[in-house]
Amino acid sequence: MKKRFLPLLAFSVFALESCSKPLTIYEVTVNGVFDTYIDCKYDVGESFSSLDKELNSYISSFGEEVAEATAQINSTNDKVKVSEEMFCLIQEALDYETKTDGYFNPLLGKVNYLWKDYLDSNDDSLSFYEETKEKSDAAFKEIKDSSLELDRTDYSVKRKGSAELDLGGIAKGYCIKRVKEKILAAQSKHYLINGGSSSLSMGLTEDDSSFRVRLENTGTEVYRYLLGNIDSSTSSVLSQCKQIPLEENTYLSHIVNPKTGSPLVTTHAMTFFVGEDSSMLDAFSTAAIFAPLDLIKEWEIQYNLKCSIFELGNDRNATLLYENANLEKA
Amino acid sequence: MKKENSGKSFWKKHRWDFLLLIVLVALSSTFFVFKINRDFSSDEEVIASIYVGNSLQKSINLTDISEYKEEEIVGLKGKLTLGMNHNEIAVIHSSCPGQECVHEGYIRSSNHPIVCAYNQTLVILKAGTSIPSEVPIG
Repeated sequence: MKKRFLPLLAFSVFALESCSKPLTIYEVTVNGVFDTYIDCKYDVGESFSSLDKELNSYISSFGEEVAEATAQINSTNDKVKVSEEMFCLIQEALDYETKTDGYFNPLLGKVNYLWKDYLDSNDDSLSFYEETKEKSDAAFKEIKDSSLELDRTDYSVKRKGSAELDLGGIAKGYCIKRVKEKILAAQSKHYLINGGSSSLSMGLTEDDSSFRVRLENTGTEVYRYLLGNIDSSTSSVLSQCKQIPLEENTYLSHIVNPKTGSPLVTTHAMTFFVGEDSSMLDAFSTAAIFAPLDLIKEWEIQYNLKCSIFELGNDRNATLLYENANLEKA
Repeated sequence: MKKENSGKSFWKKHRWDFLLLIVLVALSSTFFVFKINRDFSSDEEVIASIYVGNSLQKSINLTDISEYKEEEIVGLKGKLTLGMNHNEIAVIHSSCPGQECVHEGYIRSSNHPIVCAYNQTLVILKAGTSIPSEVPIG
């Protein structure tokens, strides 16, 4: 190429660059599900106007609907009619109970609420702990004789026994899944849905590359993974790193073991899952906190998941125990 | 006579410095006045969000608007008409008795919302945001 064309070429590139319109990213942040914000950033060209309103309205009403449906079901042993959306959510929760061999249990409600009240109370007396444990043990026994009967013909749910439904372990993931569907339906490929730093769903960044997801509470070690592609990617993390000391070397966390009914910190400190379905990842990241590692590896193969599992190190930070070889590190 | 000559030579010597100073002062004043009226950078898109009660009714990309446009919004007690130009918006008609929202005129800054208390309607401007490429989780 002749040298005199170089300025012309440079000018053409500059002119083309100036003409390219930068992406416009819209943001909707809604305090919708169990007092946590869901923040959606997305690029959807012309159709954003209606999507903005749709997402806002969907997320805010979803949280209310979950709370209302759960309260109704827990208040009676009669049939309760719910919306199609709530029916699907409850159906999924029960499916994941089976798929996780009971390490995710949506009927732990009463036990969860008792320990939540204990942890929120700031009463660290032994007597209050003993009292809560006694109530929790009694509530845990009720779970064996309790179940939910679902009838798809009229979207009804019938509770048997006195255990209470708690959709806290799956509702946010389910909501993010639906939000992702709406964003994808609007032809967006650049988006990030952030459910309060525990559940993420993403497409591509603004410069068409993958996102870097950095795990927190890992002490001096830094774990960064590349996530996100044109077909979207989803991750979920559950951490027991925020703990309340009970006595020497004994700590409590906000997650109750579905096999024992106890919130004592055991097994895994943090679980990080990558896949496609955010409600499934929500359930499996919860289940993997207490499940044995061999079983978790079986789930990875069976349900096409990738995960990192961390145990609690001496410095009480999460220390890597297992990492799927196919996870792309950044 | 000598003093006069030295004054003239000073002016002659520094006239371009003064000119440059005047240009800089004029430019910075213009930018300052522009900035207090508009806090969006030129590469940001300006989005108008219209809330009725506490719920978002509509988002309008004002940067995409090239010629004057009107849109009607149903407030809690009556209707409002919005007038829009490129990167600016105003309430031009309102069913409210006070008409304060109409008197606000066109807004171009995120610091200056339009509130119609009678219709519980709020018009605010915000910039199109960006997506972070690294996300902390856990």
